[in-house]
Amino acid sequence: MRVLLARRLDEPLPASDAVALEEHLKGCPACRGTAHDYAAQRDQLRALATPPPPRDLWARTSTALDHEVTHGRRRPATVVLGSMASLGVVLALVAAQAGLIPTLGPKGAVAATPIAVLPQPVAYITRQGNEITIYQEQVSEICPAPAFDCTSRPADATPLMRVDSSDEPSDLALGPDGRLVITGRDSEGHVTYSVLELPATSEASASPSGPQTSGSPGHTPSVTSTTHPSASPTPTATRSSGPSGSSAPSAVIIPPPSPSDAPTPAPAHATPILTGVSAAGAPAAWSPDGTMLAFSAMPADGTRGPDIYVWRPGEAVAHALTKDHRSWFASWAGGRILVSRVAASPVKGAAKSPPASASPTAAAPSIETVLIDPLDRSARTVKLADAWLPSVDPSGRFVIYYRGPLERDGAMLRSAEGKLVLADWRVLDPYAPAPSPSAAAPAASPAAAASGVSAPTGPAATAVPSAPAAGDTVAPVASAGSTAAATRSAPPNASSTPTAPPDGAAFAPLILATPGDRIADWLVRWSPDGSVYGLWVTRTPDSETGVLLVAPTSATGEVQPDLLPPTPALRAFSLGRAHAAWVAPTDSQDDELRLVTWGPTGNGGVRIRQVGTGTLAF
Amino acid sequence: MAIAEAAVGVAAVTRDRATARAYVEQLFRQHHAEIYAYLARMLRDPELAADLAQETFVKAYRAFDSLEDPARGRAWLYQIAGRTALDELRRRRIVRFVPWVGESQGVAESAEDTALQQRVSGELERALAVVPPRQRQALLLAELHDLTGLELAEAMGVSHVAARALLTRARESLRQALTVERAATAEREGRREREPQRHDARGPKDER
Repeated sequence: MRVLLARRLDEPLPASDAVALEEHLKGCPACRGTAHDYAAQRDQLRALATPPPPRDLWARTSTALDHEVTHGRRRPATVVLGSMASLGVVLALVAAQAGLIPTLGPKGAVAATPIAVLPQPVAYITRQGNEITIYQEQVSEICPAPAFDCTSRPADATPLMRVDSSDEPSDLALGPDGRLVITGRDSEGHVTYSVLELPATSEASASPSGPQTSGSPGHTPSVTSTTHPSASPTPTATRSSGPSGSSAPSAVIIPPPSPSDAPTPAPAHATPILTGVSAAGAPAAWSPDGTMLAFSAMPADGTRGPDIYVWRPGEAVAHALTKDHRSWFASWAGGRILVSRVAASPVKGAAKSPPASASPTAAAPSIETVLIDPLDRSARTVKLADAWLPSVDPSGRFVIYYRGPLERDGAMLRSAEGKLVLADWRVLDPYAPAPSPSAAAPAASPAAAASGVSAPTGPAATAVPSAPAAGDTVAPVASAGSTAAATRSAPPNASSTPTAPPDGAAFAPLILATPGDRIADWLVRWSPDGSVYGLWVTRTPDSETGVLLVAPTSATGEVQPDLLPPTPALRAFSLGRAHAAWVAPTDSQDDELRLVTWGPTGNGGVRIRQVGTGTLAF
Repeated sequence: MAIAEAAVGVAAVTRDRATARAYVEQLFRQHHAEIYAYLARMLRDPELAADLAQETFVKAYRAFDSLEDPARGRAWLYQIAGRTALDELRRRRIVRFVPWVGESQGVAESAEDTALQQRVSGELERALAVVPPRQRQALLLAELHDLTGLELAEAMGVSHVAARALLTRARESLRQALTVERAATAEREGRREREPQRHDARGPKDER
């Protein structure tokens, strides 16, 4: 019906469609509202002011044309001496220069010479019907940048593993020992966390993406799923049949695809470790040593807020580490779990966090950042005011977090018109050695003020006694008042000039420059050594399509050249030491799996293959 | 003989280039204002729009040979401008981390006030910015630049049916984006009402 409503604005509908539409509108108030909206927005559009061109536009254009005539790239001799074939080449080149022919399109491939590289493993997962399929490919040839099409890949990929599932996966976390944790949601919106053991060999090599730390806003992705058909509507755990875990992580390589004539592997089953929940906070992630999984979830019916859950290989189910119902998993920081916690009483309505948190009258969610040791359950407050879902790199050097307003969406909190900040984690880590007296920071240094970062006060300042027994709640570590006090000591508007690093920090915080003013969702992944970060951002709520940026970190905070300039990408991507893989959206039904490499491996990229909608790289 | 043929060839090419230059000048006279407006609306950046408008006409000059029917020059020009804008949007969607230069609450409030004063157009502009670029192109070309169905298809580089489908999706995307923007505006206004003291305190200062 919306199609007809929209189309009738552009052209007269066939009589039968027009009559049917009018009949439908009579009995459909919502449709009449839509029709009214379409007409109103058309009027608004047409009422927009027309921006006048600058007066010097012709002068500038004329000069540019003169320059083109004089120094243009068309060479008459080429046409004079050329045959019809070369004329065609010239016209193609001119058209390509004019942007009329995509230089990287599948039919307009640039003739670049492939570069042989060390095999780069790329894994991805697809879903069709009641089955998800895991693929793994080795990429040993890339194209020199910026080409992607210089080499042809095998037409078909051989599945590594098939898994029975009626649900759709949304997030994947691959542990160093080959355990793949799948977050998925069924048709009713219930999320299941499941564990799948991928085939492994004893050959030592890096896992496809290695241990990663990631962060994302606290909302259930629009495409999520369970991987087990028996998801229960209430938070329950199902016995795991997984083998005992090893505390010593071993590097695993996924074997290359079997020959095409090999028997198709029988569907496997993922083992659910928590079912019937809604995902919250950052995606599930393995500890850097691969011995423990952490994530946050809440009852699917939204009767209470999220808690942190942990799971170790060999355990039957995931168990709650917190029971305060207001803890969002953010990332691992070494062997501890970084948590974003709503410190104040439940919030009603949307709220603007950073500025309003200092206002005694504002009903804003006061956010505190807490670092919890999952072994002894001790917790310390991180002096990181107004940060949301901070993600610490595996080396413990950098942190990326959201700072800005948070909006309520049911039990979820959504980021909005804020900024992503890249800061020095070492000065924030409450477990880090106490700074020397000479490095003691004043409470409101400009940089700390601007980023909402307060100077560390030493590891013992906010320590919370550990809970005595398993299952106890980890107590809130700071009251709303203490958080507000910390914020007031470092007002966010204290500086309007370029900042210096906070005392003890190697560099001043950086903010992500975005042309828009909204960060609806984001995802951070780090290379295993923390030398590279990948950042996926979207401005559209519930969108799986955004922009991916890959860049090296810098010990001095200097902005480094991108390894992958901002490029359209779906949410799931993987990041290794020397490569990144992602799914690029296309105008056609299929998307494209792409890979870039850098460093000693060689700088370049390759279009691996077309993949179906919903493919996740990991 | 060969030299003579080459000379004739050079003359022909020179004439073609002169024709191309004259044709592009004519296109500029007729369409530069609408091309600039189109780019300004796509990019929301007047300076960049001017740069890309210039680039559009230079590209038109370079690609003159690919124009099969000069009578369809307008749609052809929109196609070049649209691709130029999309290329630019792809490059600058998300930039990168940059040094923090601080921010002032006062500036933020002033910007908010400005947006509220221009609420309707501001909402529409922001909603348009959220609409995917290809859909935004279709919407702008159809509604503001009055391209016919065939011109729209040609400018978008797709079939007539595909262009119509894009336009339909664009209308729905804009409707949803406007709904979000209006809710955000209502929320901001509600917040302002809940925090009268802050505005009262700033008001007299602004009047001075």
